[in-house]
Amino acid sequence: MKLKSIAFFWVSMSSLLVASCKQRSDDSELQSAGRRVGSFKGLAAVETTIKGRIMLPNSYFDLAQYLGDSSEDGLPSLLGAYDGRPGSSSLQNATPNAVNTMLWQIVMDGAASAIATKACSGGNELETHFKQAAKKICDWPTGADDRAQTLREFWLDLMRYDAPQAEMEAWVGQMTASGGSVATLQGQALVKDLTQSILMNPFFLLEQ
Amino acid sequence: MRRTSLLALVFAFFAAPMACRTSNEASSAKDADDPWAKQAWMNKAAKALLYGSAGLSPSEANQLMPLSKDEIVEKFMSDPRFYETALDFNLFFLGLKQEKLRYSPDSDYKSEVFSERTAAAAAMELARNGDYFVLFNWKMPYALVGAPGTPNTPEGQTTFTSDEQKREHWLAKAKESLDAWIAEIESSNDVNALCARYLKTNDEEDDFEDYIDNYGLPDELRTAFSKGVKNQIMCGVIGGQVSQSASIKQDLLAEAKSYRAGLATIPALFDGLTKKIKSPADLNVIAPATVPTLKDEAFEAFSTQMWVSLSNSSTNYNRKRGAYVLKTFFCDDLTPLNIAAPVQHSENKHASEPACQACHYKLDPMAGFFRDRGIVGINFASLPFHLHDDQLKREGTDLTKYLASWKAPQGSTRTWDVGYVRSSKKESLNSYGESLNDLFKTIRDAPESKTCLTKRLAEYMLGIGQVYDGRWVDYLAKEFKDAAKPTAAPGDSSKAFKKVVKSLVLSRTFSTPDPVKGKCYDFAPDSEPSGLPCEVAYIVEKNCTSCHSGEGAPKGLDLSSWKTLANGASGFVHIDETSGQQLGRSASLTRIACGLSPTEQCGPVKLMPFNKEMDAVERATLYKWVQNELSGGGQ
Repeated sequence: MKLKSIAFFWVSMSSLLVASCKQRSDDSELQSAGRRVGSFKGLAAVETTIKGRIMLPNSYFDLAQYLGDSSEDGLPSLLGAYDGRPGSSSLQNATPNAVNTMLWQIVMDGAASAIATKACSGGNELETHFKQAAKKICDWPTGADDRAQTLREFWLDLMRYDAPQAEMEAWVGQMTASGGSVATLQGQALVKDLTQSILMNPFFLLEQ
Repeated sequence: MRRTSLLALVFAFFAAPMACRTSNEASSAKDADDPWAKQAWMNKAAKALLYGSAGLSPSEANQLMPLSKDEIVEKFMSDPRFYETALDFNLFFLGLKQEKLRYSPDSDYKSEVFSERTAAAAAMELARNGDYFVLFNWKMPYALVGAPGTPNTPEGQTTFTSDEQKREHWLAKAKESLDAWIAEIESSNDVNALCARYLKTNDEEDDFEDYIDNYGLPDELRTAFSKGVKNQIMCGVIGGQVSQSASIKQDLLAEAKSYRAGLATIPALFDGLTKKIKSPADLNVIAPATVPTLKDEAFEAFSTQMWVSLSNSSTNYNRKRGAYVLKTFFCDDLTPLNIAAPVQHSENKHASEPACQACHYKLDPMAGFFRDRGIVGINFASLPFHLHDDQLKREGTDLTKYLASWKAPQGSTRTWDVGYVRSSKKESLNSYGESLNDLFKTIRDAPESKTCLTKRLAEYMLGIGQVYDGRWVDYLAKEFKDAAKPTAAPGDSSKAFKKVVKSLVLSRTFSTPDPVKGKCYDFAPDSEPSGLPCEVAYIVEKNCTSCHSGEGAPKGLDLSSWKTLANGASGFVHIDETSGQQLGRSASLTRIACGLSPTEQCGPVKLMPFNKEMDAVERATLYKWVQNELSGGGQ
């Protein structure tokens, strides 16, 4: 089915966890291999980033809602937050571990679903350029657009230049490969899959 | 998309005048070969300099491609969002970083942003090319005020059609309420009854505070009409006992009359306020003299929230507050190091233990600046008692004994052993004082605070955990140090801030995608990497290598030479005096650690550098690096 997409996703997930488990010198090895290591950016920063990139100003977008009822039990703070106490300007709970990585997966699954629903139903809250790129993907396999190019535009709308060009090309290659997401999924499901794979990428989620 | 980028590049090549080519010409040439690298840098610079920016879209990035990096930084720094970045950094520097500055993109700044006055004031000064170093002020010469709100509609009142009518209504009600309260105080001698009324009115029925709340004044002005904390304490809000002070009635009357006079100034004040605050440059500045209730306001740097968080219990003798100042303004996290400290402060067994003196020799004198500040930061200097945050009350001999903890020894030229202590042996290096004004003047003048400011700015812009060459940080910090000289103009500190930010964003560390945390990328002009581990190279060269260098160095330790040892590990050249052989990495580092912090386990070892002073933060940095190397962190 969408095995390659799942594999890509788990490579991203596991690199987040590897970053948390290794020593500093190992981090350096990972970094020199072109991987991002470090802490999560935090819930508020990620929310602002997504809103700023693909939503129209003043649109409602709340990542914590995807944690369900637990969002009122302090769970969002486990995704990286400033506690606001004087003398403490460091992001708390931002070092990747099994629990917060799983929570990010839950949040991004919900967010990607919501974004895909809006994108394929012509939602008014989405930024125009992203809406157009997403709409082309929603309409696949109809449409005569250059798929690799549309995927690059979709990636750049969400990721901007946070990741190296090679990362974008690798992602496009994965998604368009035989048996990849583009070949196995359609419409809303495909947009959700593509969105989630970008949102869970270490270059999107981790501080430089 | 790539075609567009290439076109932009071709345009840039022909259109950019030679005069625009700057020192980053070499990197521009590299950018021409790799447009993605420049787009990535621009995207990162936008996020770093423009508060709330999500980065650049491809079309935004393409528009900027013809500009040099220097011009792009200048462009970003002229955007109002840059001053919000400065505000966010100021809060970060003060250890008060918030998730967001505003409640929503269109709203005013959060009250937490205003409550820490110096952060907002320094951002505003920066936007106006004024004195950025108000960040180091204890007292502010003005009140900073946000945008006003809209007045509430009185319950059941439907005839009011304008906000002006509503405001007039609430002002009249406030005047009426205060007149009644003043009459009540004047006609009564029952202090207990007056205090009960003073403390309860807010809960049980509307009073002038509620009417002012409804008026729509910004929070910062509204609180100027709130009941005074001191009077609440004197009336026994804490502990439930009305103080026996005979002045309570007069104090309550004075406060009420002050508020009554202050009400008259509200309409004019309100009309003069900027109604929409788009950036720190738009903040309203109110001179205290224009509002009678603000005249006596201290306008101190610490908010009530700050005082509550940095509480002073009856046993910590203000050390929490002292530690905050050392960490925040001097980057001294009080790493416990065993260095001789002959002076004993504070009546407290822990502080007098030799091992604990390592921190207390500088922590206790710093805490002494806060000696008169009790519960929620109230100044008890003029009161016959002192109330701690844990509600322990000191008076009489107990109070005398508490204050004696910071009395200078007999024969000293100063009254108090209070100050910023750099050396436990050489008093002439220390900056002594008595008051919080003295402390913050020391912070403003001290070179260490400028180095600390630079380090925090580097952390904020380049990432926490990234290591830097110390000489480079010192080189950048010189901008701030020069701006703090008595001959400098107030606006020089703002220029220095912008210059340091620009240097950081144009640095190699910033330009490198995902820089390796343990590697230094930038060095001061005319200086090359020495081959020593870059995190500590400058500290070692500054403090150690004048003696420990070359063959025949004391104790066989050559700290100017970091080499690959026989077993493949890296270490200093360190010849064991007995065997004449190179010491193993671990043994060598352990001896170095002992020189920096001679513990009992070290045996008879002299504190290094021998007979020389070493900056406490530098000593701690070097010691922590050695410990990290010993634990395998650097290998």
